[in-house]
Amino acid sequence: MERSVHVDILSRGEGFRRGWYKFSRNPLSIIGLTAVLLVAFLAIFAPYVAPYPKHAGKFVNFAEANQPPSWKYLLGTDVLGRDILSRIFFGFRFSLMMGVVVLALVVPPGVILGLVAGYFKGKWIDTVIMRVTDIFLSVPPLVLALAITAVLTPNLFNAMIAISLMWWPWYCRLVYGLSASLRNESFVRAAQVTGAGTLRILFREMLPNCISPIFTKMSLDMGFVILAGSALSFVGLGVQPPKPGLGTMVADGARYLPDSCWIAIFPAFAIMIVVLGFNLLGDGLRDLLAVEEV
Amino acid sequence: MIDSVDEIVVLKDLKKYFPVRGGVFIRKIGDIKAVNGVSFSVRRGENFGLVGESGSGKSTLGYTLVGIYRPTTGRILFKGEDIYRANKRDQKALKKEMQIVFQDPGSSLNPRKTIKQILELPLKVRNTDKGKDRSKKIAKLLEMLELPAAYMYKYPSALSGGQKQRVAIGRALATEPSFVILDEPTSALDVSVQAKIINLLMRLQQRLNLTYLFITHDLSLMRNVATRVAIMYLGKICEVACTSEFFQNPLHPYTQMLLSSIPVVSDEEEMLKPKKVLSRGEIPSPVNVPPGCSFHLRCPEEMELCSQVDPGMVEVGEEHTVRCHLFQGAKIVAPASQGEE
Amino acid sequence: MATPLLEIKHLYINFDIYGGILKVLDGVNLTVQSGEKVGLVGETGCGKSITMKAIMGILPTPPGKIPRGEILFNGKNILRMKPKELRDIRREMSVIPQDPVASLNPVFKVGTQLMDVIKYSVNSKGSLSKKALKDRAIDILKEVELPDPERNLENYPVQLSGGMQQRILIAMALVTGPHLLIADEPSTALDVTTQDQILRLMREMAEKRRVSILLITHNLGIIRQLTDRTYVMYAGQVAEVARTKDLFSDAMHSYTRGLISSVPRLTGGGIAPGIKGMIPDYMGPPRGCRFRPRCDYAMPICEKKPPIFRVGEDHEVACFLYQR
Repeated sequence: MERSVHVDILSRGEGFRRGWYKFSRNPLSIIGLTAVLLVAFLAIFAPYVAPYPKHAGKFVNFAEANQPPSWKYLLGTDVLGRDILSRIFFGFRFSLMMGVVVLALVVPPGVILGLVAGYFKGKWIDTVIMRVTDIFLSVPPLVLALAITAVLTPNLFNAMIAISLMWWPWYCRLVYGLSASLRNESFVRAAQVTGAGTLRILFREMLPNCISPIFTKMSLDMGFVILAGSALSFVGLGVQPPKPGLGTMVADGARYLPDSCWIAIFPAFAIMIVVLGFNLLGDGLRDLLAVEEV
Repeated sequence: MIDSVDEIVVLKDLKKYFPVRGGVFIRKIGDIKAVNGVSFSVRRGENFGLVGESGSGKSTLGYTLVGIYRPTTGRILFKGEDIYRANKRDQKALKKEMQIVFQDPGSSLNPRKTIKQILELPLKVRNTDKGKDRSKKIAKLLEMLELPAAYMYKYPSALSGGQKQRVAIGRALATEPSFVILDEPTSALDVSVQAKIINLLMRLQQRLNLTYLFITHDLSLMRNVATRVAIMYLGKICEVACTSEFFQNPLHPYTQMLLSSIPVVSDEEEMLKPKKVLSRGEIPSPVNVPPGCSFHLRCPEEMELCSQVDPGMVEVGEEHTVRCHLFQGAKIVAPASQGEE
Repeated sequence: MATPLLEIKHLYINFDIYGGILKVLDGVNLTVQSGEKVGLVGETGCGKSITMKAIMGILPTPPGKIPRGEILFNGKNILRMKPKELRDIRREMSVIPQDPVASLNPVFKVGTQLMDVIKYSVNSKGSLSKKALKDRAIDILKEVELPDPERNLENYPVQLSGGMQQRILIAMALVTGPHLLIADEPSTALDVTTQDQILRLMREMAEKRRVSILLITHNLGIIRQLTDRTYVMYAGQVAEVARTKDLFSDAMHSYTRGLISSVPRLTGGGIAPGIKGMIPDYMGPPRGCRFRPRCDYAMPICEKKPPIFRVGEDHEVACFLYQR
């Protein structure tokens, strides 16, 4: 059924402005966006913004260890006398890097495989791709991560590989569903009748119509990837001390609960802010990209 | 391909079945017999109308002709050549010659592409022109479609239904085909817009020497655009005649039932309708095609023979063929398909 | 003149969206008398669906706004009613929706859905037993000529054909014993042969039960088949209203004429040229008569909103051409 009111969209530029208008009406989305931008800013400019940038590396100051929050050290110091606030800023770097790298590793193969499997649904290539996906999905993620890091040395890079291996099937599945339904759309059929080759159809006709759900998932995933990375660091498989990974910091401070609780709690809050920020941003994007009918 | 052939497209006992899978082992348990033995030919330059309700298989037929589906059995000849026995190069050339305009303008244009990109695709695929020549061709195309050149940079969502359908027509014509299948080209449009689009199609047919296969469920529209009409029910053709004969002398009971159900807008038309053949029942699913004549369960003239034997196509007048046991004595044009029940 | 069953008076409806205000309805007047079958015809975007939603009370209010106008049902303005009063009104006004596939819940049996409607339509004072509900359901299904009602109660909607589903929707609309049936494009999703059966059924039902019908559609053919009087709407304005047969034989408004001539005829005669131009943008609609840019007879005075002129018995046109 056609839309009952005719609204003219003039150009791509007009589309973005409309999008921002819609997006900005939801306060939660703005909060999410602000949080994400803040974290990104702190991560990028950490050496210039952190009060004690050297504390992020090899630094020891037993004289001021285990200090509660004060004006000198806004969030207190940890067991080695390092400023927690500064370390958190540097910790954001690891978090964001993990999110970006994992998504960069995971999205292209997942999307391509999903597109191909969905377009050729019913044929052998669909079966092969989706069964491989199923296999990866059936392995418990943490066990997989442990296994991988047991084989390789525990560090941030290997943690990213572990997370990537368990993350890519979700993109494959998402795009598989989209692709399988898109291939029956008239405009895809029209492209086939025109004589367009398969590659062209997959990437120039179908992929642009999958972008919205993929982007939404990516922004929601950022939070969850970071959370997974922090979990791995907490268990000792990710960012290794003395590097200030947020999960690592929580692990360090866990021992000192509830007395020097600030050592564990502030990094935990930092993780929460990052994850929540990306979640709210992702929700906002999803609402924004939902088709609206008047 | 022979260019001088009078019958540009010939269908010979075309069938398209879709398997129905079910059960624990996902075995084939039946067939959707969408197209169930269709034979006719379309002459160069004519506007051949194909009428049917939903479930008749008319759209599937169109899709099979243009290559979206492969036929299950049967042959399709284009300009004398069997299109599925041709070699790869000929098949590619064929794709250029036969095009289709889809029913729903909203979904037949990629919402993420501009009009220019949509119209450019057929040209890009041929790889024959450079960028500048392509833009010129597209501008010419838009002019032919009576759309302003500035529309090139718009997205489909900015266009009205009628304008979108013009673009869809333009896309079909970009490869300079000789045969165009119009699958319900105006069913999704308002009646005043429909008039403009049909007029455009008629003008284009004249100007570009096109042959049309015009598929629709709207008999009144058919009356005014088609040169010959074929009516389809549950995958088979019931009756074929040239337009005036078809409407003045409808013979098949289904044709009469359909004609008597049309809501018309004037008393003159009311008088033209067959005396009330009250429609009964509804079209069965193509998975459960009734035995014998597929229409017999709803037919007011049903005889005992009808539930057992499928009638063949017989010729009852000049260029007028019917598939019905009521006309047994007439000359047989095509026997009932083999392997029916 | 008796109080009309339904009366829409000077209805204006706007929509607040990004970029401005869509002024959709521009002073719509419409009446349905008791026992009358009235048609509301117009093409996509003319505002008929929005009018219908306003009558039913389901207009999304933001972004919709009703700055002016009344909708009177039996003399009472339903736009100002409280929810409880509205619920009572809703029993007297039923809707037959457009698409059975979308309107019937696929995961519940037909019988369950029908009996639900029966249950909630009865006054809360007396509730019916399960058997009574079932009997009522079977009775109404027999009335709408659904074959084999007992068995079909146990079926799911997907097991039924389009025509059967539409009959069930009609049954659900009739169960409350309404005085007004609003039929929203009641047969667009159906084949012509099934459509014919359904329209005949609706006519019989209306006559037997003395129910008024408001038929909203873009299909002129079914308007002619089913209605006594018809309103023609264009771009949120009522262009013309007349007895249906007068409308077809003697249309006055330029738009009505263009519309009717655009319908292909079974008698042949080719295809009419259609109506030049496009429906206006509701954000900046033409001043005065909204059809002016597309009208071959436009005059300077048409920049003012045309009043309604009476041109015959029950025949009114909103066009300055008919000014005495």
